[in-house]
Amino acid sequence: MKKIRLVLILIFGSLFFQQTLLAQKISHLKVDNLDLIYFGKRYSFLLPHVTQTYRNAMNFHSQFWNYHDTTTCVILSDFEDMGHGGAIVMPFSQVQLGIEPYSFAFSIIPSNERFQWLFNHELTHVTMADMANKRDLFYRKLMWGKVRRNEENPVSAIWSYLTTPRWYSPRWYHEGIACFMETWMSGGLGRAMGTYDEMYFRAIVSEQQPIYSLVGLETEGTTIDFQVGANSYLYGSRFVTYLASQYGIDKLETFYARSDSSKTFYASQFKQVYNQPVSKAWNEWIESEYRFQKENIDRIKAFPLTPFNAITKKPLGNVSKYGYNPSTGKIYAAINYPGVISQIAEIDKNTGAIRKIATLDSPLMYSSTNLAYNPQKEKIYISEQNNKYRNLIEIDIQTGKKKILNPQTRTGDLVFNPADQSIWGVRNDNGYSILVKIPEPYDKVIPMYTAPFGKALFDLDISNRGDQLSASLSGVKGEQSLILFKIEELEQGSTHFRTVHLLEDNTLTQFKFSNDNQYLIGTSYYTGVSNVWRIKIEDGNFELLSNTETGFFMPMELNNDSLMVLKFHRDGMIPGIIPVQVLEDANAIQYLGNEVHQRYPEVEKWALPPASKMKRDSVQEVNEAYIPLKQMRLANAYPDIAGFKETVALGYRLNWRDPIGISNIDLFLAGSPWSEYDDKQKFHAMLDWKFWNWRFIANYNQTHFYDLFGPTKRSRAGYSIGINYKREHSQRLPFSNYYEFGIYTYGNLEVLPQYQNIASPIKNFQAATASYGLSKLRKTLGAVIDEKGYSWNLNATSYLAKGEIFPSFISNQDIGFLIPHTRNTSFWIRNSIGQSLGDRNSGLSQFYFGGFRNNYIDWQPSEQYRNALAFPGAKIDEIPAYNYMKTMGELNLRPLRLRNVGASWLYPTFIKSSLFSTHLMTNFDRSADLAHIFNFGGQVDIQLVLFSYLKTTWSFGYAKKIEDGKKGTNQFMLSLKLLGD
Amino acid sequence: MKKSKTLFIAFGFVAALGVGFLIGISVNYPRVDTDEIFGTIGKVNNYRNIKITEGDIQLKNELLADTSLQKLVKNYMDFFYLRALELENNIGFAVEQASAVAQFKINNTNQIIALESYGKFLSTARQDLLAAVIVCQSPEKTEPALLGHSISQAKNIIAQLNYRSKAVLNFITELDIFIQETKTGSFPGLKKAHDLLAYNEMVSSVVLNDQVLMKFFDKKKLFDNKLELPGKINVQEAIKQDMEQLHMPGYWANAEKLSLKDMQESLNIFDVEKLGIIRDAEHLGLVDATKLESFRFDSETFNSFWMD
Repeated sequence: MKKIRLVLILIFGSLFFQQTLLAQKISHLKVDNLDLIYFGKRYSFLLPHVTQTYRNAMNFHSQFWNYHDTTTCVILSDFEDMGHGGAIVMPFSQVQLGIEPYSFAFSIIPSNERFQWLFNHELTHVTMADMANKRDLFYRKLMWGKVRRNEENPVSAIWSYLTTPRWYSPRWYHEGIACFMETWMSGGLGRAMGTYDEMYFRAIVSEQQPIYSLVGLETEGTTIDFQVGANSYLYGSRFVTYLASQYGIDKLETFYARSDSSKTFYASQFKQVYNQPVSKAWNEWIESEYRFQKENIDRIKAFPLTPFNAITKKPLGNVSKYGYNPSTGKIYAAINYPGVISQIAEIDKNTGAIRKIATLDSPLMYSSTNLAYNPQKEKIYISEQNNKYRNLIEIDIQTGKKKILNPQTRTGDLVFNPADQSIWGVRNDNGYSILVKIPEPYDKVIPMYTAPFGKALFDLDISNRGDQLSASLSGVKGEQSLILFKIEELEQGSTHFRTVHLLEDNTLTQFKFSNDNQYLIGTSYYTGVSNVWRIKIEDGNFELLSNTETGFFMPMELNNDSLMVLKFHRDGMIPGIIPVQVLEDANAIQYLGNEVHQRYPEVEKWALPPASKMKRDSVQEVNEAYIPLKQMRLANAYPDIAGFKETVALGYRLNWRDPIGISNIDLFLAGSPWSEYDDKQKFHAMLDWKFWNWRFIANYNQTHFYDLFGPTKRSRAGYSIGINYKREHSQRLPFSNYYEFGIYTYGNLEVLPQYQNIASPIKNFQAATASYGLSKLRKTLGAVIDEKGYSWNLNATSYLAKGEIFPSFISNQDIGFLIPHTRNTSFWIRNSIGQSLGDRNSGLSQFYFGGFRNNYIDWQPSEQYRNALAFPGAKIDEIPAYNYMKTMGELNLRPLRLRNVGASWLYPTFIKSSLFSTHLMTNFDRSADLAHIFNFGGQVDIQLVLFSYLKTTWSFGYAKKIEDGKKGTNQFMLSLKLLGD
Repeated sequence: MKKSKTLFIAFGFVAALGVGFLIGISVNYPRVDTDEIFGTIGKVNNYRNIKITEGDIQLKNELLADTSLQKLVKNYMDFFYLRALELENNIGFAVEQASAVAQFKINNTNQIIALESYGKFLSTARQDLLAAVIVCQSPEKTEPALLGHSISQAKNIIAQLNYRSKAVLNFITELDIFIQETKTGSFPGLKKAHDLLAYNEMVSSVVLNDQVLMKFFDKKKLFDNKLELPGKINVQEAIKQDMEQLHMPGYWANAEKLSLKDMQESLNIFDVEKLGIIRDAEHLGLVDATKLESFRFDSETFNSFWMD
């Protein structure tokens, strides 16, 4: 026994030590109120620039909004291949920035220098949500800080709302003002003047489709549309721009400001400022938008529109760059649209028929993935793990077989060189955009040219002879140029390139060589609309080839007379054919954002000066190793309530953590003096300390909030102490795996830790657990649950009691697939096998089944009937088994979306229903004890959203248990799941 | 009659002019603001007031803060510049010798072309290495952006050198086979070419601690133990030429001070210590981010509640 303890101490100790060392490699730069945290030293060269751009943006916000920033923590990371940002204000204000260049797909993010632009946007979020009036400050003082809501302790949601009320506004509210501010602070480059945004609304009006209502945006627009969450940006920035243009900047500022006279809930504040409900103003904007876009469409139609011959009947949602085989007339592209799993598809140019070649994992929004086509070998090369470090994948067109050619290349914008079979691409690494060559057999990535910091390369193409490479190059002022390399010169070590064309204030994207290599054909928003343009390589002559009311993208010359293009529709891209014809006439359109500038030229003053011009007059500047334990501080403390068996406990919850949440301590101290239990059960203490992947838990008379409601009890008398380690790997999403192990000791128990209705045969014992799991689960756009894939996990538990060991194993395996021809409907088989190895007569050796396992009010996923130990139709813990095999068939029907039901503060989003049937075989090793038990039932879940961010799920279930020779039993379930995603 | 006919014609002419004028102005209506046109193609007229320029990006000069790192990076770049110079010279000699032996040339044309191409690459690419050497020599006088860009570009060249060195290895292998199997001559030129190239690669493998390359040369032997260079390399002259190509005349005044001059001697010396220990790529900040996996957070935990 001593040896085992020693081994365990050594294992846990070495892992703990290793992680402590790891923490030493995190650095921390503190400049006045900026807490900048970064990993390793690779990109520390960015620090002065990041610091100055932060100060530049924060100075503006502080003055403009009268906002008093105390401390904002900025986490600089390089864990993904594309630049990105995020902000949160509870419990501490934080901004997370990914240092890589952005995606330039479809020119959706119009930006100049990316760090300044990101800070303009993200610090707007921080300011809007962190700005506090006297009332908010009172609650912050009372709670010792800002409270972040926690599903398991839902009282925190109330305190969270009181300390940071504006955080609980809809996403469009936040993104709208962030996009608006980003635009003017960047001197006119942002989504308030977004080229894509104009096109989206123009397409809706052109196709005479509805614009989402205020509630419809949340229920459908951000969930089943092909752009999902991106609609919050589109609609938010549009509505806010409309408000500014129609009612003025001052009112907009008052609406967002958190003054003492302002209302807490955003919709009430809107009514106070604009004297009308937000829904009414939203409808006014919709009418105005129709008029505005109609005028733009009329301007475009003043000259003949380019005829477009669609290849497919319906839009294909998000579409990648495509390859084309002229001899077979097949198009190869990655597509992703609602209801169908993202895929690599073969599209027949003549019939529009689509054949799925392979499933596309980890698709990107808008561009699906990076794709290059090798017509000689009939192979497609794509990138996967697009939201992490990208892999290079080869797909055989005939068989659909996928092969990882090179993992973690970090390379996108792929293009195939027919001359030497090499693949070229753009690798984003350490904040730089690098042109790379991946020669056959594609196991090496050779950097050929690194763009100066701040510039980004994208949209590569290679001439048909394989001797020239073109690329778009974006600069810090938002300018874009089309550049040309001679591949032979690149191979000889020269990085000289020729600028074929430059637009100082517009886009030049998606250019491809013409068949005779004389021209580059691509797109530009020169007129405000994404049209097709042709540039003569010899002299840079710039010619317009199309005039469309929505937008054309990714032109490819088919022959001298025609081009293949993607045409933008409200539901995504449609491939089609247009004639090659040089146009002399086309009108420019107006942008809604420009109207704001014309009516309120004061926005000019918002344009930030260069960050380098700011004085470096910091009072305090410290650069040191970031040690999480040293950085921990009290984040908040608030009263809380919980259930203990059949009584109520009241107490205080305290939370300490470091700014980035590596070390987090949650302590709950409570009492239940009014209870009828023993005195020793009237005090409750729970400590939960998470440190990296470690978790230390100590409970004394453990309480649980949801024990206040319903049959399922998680509170336990007695004490427990445990330590647990869990490591998850999600770099290969959607595939992920984890392992976990832990040791625990229990004392003075009344019932077993896992089974509330089973009296513990032994009061004190120890337990050790180990698990391993893997999964690859997918859902289509518009889905509310996983619809396809598999998962497997293996759990081993062993109790040590009175010198006797009670081991047991459970293996759970699920597999599911989409039902063909029926959107968002899936069928799952969920199987579980368990075996105990200890003394058969002990309760510690038994599994106990029964119940839906939902409480009347719960925080866990509503589908608790899927749990291994659940068995709807039977009472909780009713069915014991020494070993078992359980198989469930589950049919999940297409969720019903509710478009326009409810109000801005309360609306339903979907109704989901499932049918299931289970067979449970227990004690299969002894024919005398063998039992076959069946059930069938169903469950309906309705999601209701309260105050925009507080999601609730109302569940109703029914099941019937059937067992040979016994009377069938019925069970009904009613549950309310609080919070969650 | 004649007068009325003339009047009629005149009236018709004036009327036609009038109609023509009306048609003319109507097809151009609505008129397009001439400020917004490109030919007759309107240009979107959006407000722009971008103030930042490339010069406003302030980066940190890492080498200033860490003199030991500066020395390491400088040695690293020195080594590769000198290696490129030497290799280019030896490749030129090897191509010349290989082309002179018809028996070898006929069967190894592709290898000779690949080697020649590598030689050309070195003659251009070494300038980027020299640029990195120069900025590392005086980081205090170099704009951080230029410093970063020069080092990035030099890293690219080094990656290409490493990839393209297979052309040298293939050539060495073919030479080896040819010399061993051909009994009709002694081929002193080819043997010398073999030895020079092999020697270059061996030095590199040791200095860079390239285990794969070291294993490759484990069983290889030089034909002549007393190896002599085909001709002494004038490093100063090469630097001067390269700097002219680089258009960095301002730096030429300091070129005399380049420590490369001192290192000229090391071209022929198998002295790892003198070249400096340059194996620790991670210490130089040259390691890929993918190797930093252990730093990663679980982004799901991190991002679940964030506003983008």
